Amino acid sequence: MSDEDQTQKQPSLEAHQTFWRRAVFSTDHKVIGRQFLWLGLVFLAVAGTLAMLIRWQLAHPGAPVPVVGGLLFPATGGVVSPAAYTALFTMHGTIMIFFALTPILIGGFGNFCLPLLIGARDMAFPVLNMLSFWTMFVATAILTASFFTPLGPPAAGWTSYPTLSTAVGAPGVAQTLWVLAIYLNGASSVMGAVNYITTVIRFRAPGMTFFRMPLTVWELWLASILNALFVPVLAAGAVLLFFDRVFGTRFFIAGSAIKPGGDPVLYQHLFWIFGHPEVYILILPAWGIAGDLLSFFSRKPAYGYKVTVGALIAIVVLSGVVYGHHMFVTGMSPLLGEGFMVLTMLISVPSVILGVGWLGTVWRGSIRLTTPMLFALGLVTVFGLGGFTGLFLADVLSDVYLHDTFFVVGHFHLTMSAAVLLGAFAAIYFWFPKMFGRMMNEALGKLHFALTLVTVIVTFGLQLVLGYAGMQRRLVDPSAYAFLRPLMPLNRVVSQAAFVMGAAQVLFVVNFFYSLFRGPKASANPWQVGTLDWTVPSPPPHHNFDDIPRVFVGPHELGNPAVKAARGVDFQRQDEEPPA
Amino acid sequence: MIAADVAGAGPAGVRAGQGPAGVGGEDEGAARATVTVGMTVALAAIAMTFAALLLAYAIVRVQSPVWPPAGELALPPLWGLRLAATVVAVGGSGAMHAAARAGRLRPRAARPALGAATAAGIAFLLLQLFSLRALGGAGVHPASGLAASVVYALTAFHGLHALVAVLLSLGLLAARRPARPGRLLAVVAFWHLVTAVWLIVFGAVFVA
Amino acid sequence: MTFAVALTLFPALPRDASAQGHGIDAVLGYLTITTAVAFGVMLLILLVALALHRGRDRVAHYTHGTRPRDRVAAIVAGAAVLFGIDAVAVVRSASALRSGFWRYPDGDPRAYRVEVTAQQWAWNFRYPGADGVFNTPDDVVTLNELRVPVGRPVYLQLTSKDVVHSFYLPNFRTKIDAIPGTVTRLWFEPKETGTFEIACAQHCGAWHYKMRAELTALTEDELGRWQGRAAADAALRYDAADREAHDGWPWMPAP
Repeated sequence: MSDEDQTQKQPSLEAHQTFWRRAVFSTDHKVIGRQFLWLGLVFLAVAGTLAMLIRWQLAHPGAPVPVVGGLLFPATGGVVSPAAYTALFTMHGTIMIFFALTPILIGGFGNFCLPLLIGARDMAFPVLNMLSFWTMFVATAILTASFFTPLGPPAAGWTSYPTLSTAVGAPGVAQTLWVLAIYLNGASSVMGAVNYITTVIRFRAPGMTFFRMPLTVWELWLASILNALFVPVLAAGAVLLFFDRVFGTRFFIAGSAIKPGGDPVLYQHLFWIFGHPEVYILILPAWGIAGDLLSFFSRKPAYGYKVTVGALIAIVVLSGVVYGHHMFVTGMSPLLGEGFMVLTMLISVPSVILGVGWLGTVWRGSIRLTTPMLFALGLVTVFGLGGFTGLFLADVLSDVYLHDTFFVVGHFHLTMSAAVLLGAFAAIYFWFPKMFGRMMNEALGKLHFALTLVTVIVTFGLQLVLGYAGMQRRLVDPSAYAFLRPLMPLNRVVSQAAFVMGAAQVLFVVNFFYSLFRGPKASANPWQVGTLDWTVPSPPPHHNFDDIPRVFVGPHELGNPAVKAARGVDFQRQDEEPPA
Repeated sequence: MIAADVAGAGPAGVRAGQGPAGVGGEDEGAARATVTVGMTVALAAIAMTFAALLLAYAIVRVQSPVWPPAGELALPPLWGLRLAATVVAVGGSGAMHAAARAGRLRPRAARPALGAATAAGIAFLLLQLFSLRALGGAGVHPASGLAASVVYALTAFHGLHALVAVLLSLGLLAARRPARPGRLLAVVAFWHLVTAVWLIVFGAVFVA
Repeated sequence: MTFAVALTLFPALPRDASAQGHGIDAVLGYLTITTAVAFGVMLLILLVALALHRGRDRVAHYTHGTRPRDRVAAIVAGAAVLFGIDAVAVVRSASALRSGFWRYPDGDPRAYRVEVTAQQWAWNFRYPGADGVFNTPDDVVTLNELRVPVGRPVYLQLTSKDVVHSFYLPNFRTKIDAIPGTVTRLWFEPKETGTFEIACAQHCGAWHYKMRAELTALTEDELGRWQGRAAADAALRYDAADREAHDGWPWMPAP
């Protein structure tokens, strides 16, 4: 099949004229990407604030929250009540995963970068793209509304297990709104997945074979496949939970001697069949960005690119068959338990291969410690730490002890903060020039990095210790247990590190807004790399490319002595023929 | 055209491109291929939702020693309504298939078959509503038990998708300009999925 | 750094009062040391690269990482983790699980049986009484007090009245969910006398954090004396008309 058969000719459409069509209801992937980014960043701040409140309560149980306590919790004089605490950790988790991480990495950078990286003018279905943002917006509005319902916000945990999340345990309307918000969020993700998968298959520029795509594209594409296949399973669980709550069906209501019923654990199956691939959906874009940035800022190609892609595909396939490790203590049969244990452990092998690829990329490079590179290195480090702790939870024997303790919290915060706190920032610092046409401040960026990295490792690393010591999750006041009282000082240290982490993000906010208006203007290719996004102006025109480029080489052609000799620069653009 | 200049990307300004894809020819084939890929993904995603719901049904059914579970009212089979709904659904798909074939030649030629399919779809929805009302009349409500829950939830959720299918085909009928090449195929494919899911639900829930 | 990590973590485990706990602690220790070493190696390589291979004046070594030595590096790393960590952990754990967590004392006449009913936000314990049969008038029912003998397997069957809870014994390195509409099972063997905490480990509502009970492991004599007093209390308290109080179930046979 020739390249012309593989891709569609892409007409250059006129930019919209009215403000409404240009900035609000735009079908331009760059605008939609920025809309997702704004939404995600705002809610990252909201969820981060909720985390600060959680950490305050764990450090000083029963003490009124300073400054904002009276405003937020007027009924209790500023003290976080048990009901409020359960709402805090529920909404923190829900917002972080569905309304911060997903919109920033997948909705935001996925949308903005994908067409530019493959040499396309826009996504395959621009109107669907716009709809996916507005569906996410409505979902966000519904979730926000759930904060203000008479019986209080959703409080059944981000996992929303029945029967706590059914009318039995959560009588208010908030939990129903939560289910609706999750369903619509999922619909938005699936719409996005349809677009990303199709765009990569159909709209790669001539010469852009699959193995010439940047790793960012590979990972967005693989994450979209997981999204398309597994978010619908969450939707099914949400539908059944909705029916149980609103129409009184009995899918998750436990049976009794008098009235036979369903099975609360059924929900757990549906949830985790989605839930495990979901964590890979969240980390894949971050891995891809790291893979590309490590190459760019070591000035040499990605180490073992094809093997890396193979490892990613292996992880994606395995991610679908390991979900049972979230349910080891539900009374699972030994056969299933051993099966899930072995399969989950196997994921460590392709993960190690990814690690070898990252290390091999920087080894013997000409490393430039720019802010995006620092965050990429931090991502790799924190993910390494978090990833290894996953082995403790894959092993049934250790998991029986560690399940539902802070060890799990530490594990997923290390891995997920690697994704969102380090990966998203790497992406923002890297693509800010392309998105907004200006450079962010390097000094502030480096300080932001240093503080964030140290506080992430301290906060979540110490949570591993708390879990090791046996502290369960979701406790309003751990000192209710004698065996946990000696851990209260450690809880305070964790909280202090978390407060510094929160405060350090102010540096980012200042840098972001200052640079938006006053940052030095960015050239088309400030980082001097060869992927197609850096061959267009910063920011790109509406139609992206004047002419659809033809691609000759891979995305990481840096450090080639022949290129240096022929052209005097140490990188090769993808749309340039290599020197003879 | 490859810009030799590393810093910039050639002349600025909006380029008048080739214009919207016309009817027939290479561009339309390419557009249809794109829609086919997109629809495949979309249908796979929707199919996964129903697969998960059917998995949930399978799990609760297998876990229960008898079906309907002991202590629950037996569900009235309502064969008349259900068979009629199935026939109508299959008929609607048949009409959609004819519409797709006709539409390949000339978009306008698809209209009569589209109209027939839409009518079949509306009839299906009405039959489903009647069957739910009949259940209610027999004293079977969503809260009556697990078997009732399955029937109500699957019928309603499937019905919502059937409603969307009917609305989409009404949209096609109401459009004044001929639809872009892929749109008719997209709606037809979705319609067939809705019918296929109904057949599986019919077999798994009502026959089995 | 790795030893410091391991040393700070080990003393943090709660006191192990169970006969099986050492197996779990051994696996935890093995995983801690091996993953710390693996992470340490990774970090070391990264830091050396940052120290030695940094700066504009360096010329990067142009390679795609597809040479035979690169394949070997990947295979060695993967194999080290697969065989050095994963396989050892799986084999040791599977063996401990099959002789422990998954090996319920079903036919064991020495097993001490208790039925546990979890509720928001307390634990109810039902002892079968002298007749050894549950849900009979001589059952002893306590709130938040589990009394068990030392040196015998304690065999629990659990359910919940409302939402999913999780019965967690930090000092016995074990837990199991209590699920409404289902009966789950757990067993352990205390090896020393004492009072230990029972915690709920599954979010079950606002007062989840207060769902604490106490497990007291007693000698056979002490247990016998308590059982005598408790039986007398139970006889006084028994009310045939109070159906809700008779929430025990016939002991479920092994599946």
